[in-house]
Amino acid sequence: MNRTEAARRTDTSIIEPGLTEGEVVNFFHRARKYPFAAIGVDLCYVPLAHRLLKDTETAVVAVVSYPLGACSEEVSVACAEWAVARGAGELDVGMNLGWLRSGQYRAIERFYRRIVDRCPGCIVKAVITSSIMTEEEIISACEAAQQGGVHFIKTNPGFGYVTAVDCVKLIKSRFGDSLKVMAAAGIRTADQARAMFAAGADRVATSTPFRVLAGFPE
Amino acid sequence: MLTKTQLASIIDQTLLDPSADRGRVEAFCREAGELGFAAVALLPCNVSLARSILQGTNTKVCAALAFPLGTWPAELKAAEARQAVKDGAEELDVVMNVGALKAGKLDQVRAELRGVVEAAEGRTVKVIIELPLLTETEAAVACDLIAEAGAQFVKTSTGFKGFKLRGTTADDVILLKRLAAGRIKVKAAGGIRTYELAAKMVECGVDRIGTSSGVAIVNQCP
Repeated sequence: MNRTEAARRTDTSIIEPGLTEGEVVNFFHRARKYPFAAIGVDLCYVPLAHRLLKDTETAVVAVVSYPLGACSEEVSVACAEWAVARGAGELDVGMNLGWLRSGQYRAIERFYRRIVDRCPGCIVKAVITSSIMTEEEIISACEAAQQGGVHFIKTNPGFGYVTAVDCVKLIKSRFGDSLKVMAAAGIRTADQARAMFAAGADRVATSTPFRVLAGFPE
Repeated sequence: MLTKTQLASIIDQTLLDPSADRGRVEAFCREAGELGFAAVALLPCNVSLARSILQGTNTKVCAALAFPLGTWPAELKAAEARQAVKDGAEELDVVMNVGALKAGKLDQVRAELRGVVEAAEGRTVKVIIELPLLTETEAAVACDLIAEAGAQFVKTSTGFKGFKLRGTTADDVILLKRLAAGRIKVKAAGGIRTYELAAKMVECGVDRIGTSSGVAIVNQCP
């Protein structure tokens, strides 16, 4: 896989506490040089990201109920609609792990279904927290998200979580092509990204994209 | 020296673990009500459940909003505040857009604080400023904006582990009490796990302490 091909299957993001507009602009100017699949920002930076990615093939990702997956359904739907109206082409939407652990699968399904239905044409990813979930929980989470109509499972939100290659293999072995997987969190090098692709990941996500891409041949 | 009951009455007992299931949230709220904590601070999805359990106690239900990043536009912060109030929240802890503050976009910060205070309809609003990321000048501006907006508290930090920021100290309390200058109260949160530190903060004049170790702290109270 060469650098351009890798970039097309990579999401990056700039989501940190205390982030200023200037820092977002600088990051995008650097990131614009590569055909990333998408770049994620928190809600208030969606309009800016949309302007900065005009005339590129890279989509703007807005994060919703993120990183904790603990916003109410009403608010999450409002956040999703707000972001899509301002140029977000993809939504990374946190899954409520408390609901999952309480057996509220239908609530999870309905939550995603409402967002998918209200944001037609938008790619929706359910962000699970696989690094603290059992295999059974990962499968249940993926089933509920798939029933809710999401397009991708994002394996972790970042912020200290790390995705295991086995998690990607588990989801792909169970769901095959019916559910896409984006391996996210803890991917800092090209070798780690390649391992995720080899395990079946459709995309990877990394907050150190330049370092990762540097390890792919031009 | 505070008694156990007095100490509990200024603690916001906090559960921000997104993996907590219904049973854990219920048990947490029952215990908090029995021990007489000021409030339980919870993620928005748990507010209505907490409210049903704490009905008839002195312990209030507090919702953590735009948590933990704070980088939400004003209208969505207001929407989340309205929803939390509808779900039964009696206090709102909202994360300030710290990046906007640092970039000098003060009208944006004003608008979001105004929106949340309006949505709170008189309920206590605490504004989290993520003090470890701020210069003293920025912290001073933050306190001015909070006071101006009519919110009741400045709160030191989210305490969100994923940010890997330092814990809150007694010196932070001293600084914020000075900057608040009696206009707003000070809530300390982030890495407060011992009675010793809590007691030190009380000596420095803290008005409220947010901690997920509230039970251990009051149990260490002599």
